Amino acid sequence: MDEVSDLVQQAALGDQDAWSALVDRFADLIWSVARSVGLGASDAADVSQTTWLRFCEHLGDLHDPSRAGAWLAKTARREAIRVSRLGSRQVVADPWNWLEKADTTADGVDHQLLVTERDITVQCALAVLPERCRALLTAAAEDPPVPYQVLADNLGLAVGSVGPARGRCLEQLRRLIDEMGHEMFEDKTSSWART
Amino acid sequence: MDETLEAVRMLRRRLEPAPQAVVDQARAAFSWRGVAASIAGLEFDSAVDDDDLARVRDAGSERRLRFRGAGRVVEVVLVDNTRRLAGQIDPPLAGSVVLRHSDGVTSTAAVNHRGQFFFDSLRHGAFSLRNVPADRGLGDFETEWVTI
Repeated sequence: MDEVSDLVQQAALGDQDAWSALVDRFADLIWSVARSVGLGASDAADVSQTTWLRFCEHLGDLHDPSRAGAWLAKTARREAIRVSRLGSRQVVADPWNWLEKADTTADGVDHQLLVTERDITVQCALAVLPERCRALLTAAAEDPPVPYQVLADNLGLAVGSVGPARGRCLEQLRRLIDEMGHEMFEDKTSSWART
Repeated sequence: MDETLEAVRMLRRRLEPAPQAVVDQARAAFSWRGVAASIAGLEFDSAVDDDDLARVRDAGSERRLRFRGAGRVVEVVLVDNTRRLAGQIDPPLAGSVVLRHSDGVTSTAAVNHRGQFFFDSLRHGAFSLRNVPADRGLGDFETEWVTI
């Protein structure tokens, strides 16, 4: 039983901490998906909340709890497309309004347009990896990379096993990316399919 | 650097994290979940689906949704720039409907003998309707959350 399955099943039984752990794992992914469709911050926030609320309702009946990441990404994508087609949505009282100011970044780069399908796939696969693998790989991806000794100390590993552990995690990530790529983008019946 | 690791590195540089307010609201959503009820899924949304009415009516004036589940259909019309909601449960089911918003605020309306109910002031975000039958022997059901 993997970590994500465990969390989903605990949350289904009413465990708020398990739910919070799921949110922490996947919030960035859902945000990326909503932004990748071209939504502004306020709309992306709505899509995010709708996705989490639906997830809440379906915790107990997911076909495969270990695939919760892909479920969340697909649900967010469908909802984001729906919202993008609503045209001008006039809003009376918008609690997310302040987020619009956060839309422009310091260097003016339009982040949402840089998000590709591959980014989403990699992000989803990363979010689903066991905690320790995520720590190892994100540390390795730092510039400059976190030293092996620091990693060994933080993760309770012998320095000599950090490299091999990282290698195994990388392999696991590659496999997940491959699986998710098929599931999310090559299934022509899915909402990810290009029209 | 390994190609996959490079992809992870690019990801962290390119993607913006979800704002803290969004994360906080997502965590809070868990406390609003109700007692297990059947879910009526969204079957039709005039904003994205086509039907005969879409071709004759002004698409901007109203939004129509249809939910199906638990042996019932719930038709919903949102008017006045999605500020007001008129709904109908078919077959009719006496009782009340709770309108739930994505920020946790709820309001309740009675269902008349024709299965109709009305709400006057929708809030921003997403909504779900929870039908509470007068006959408590029948189960509650809820419509799938939808962003409006």
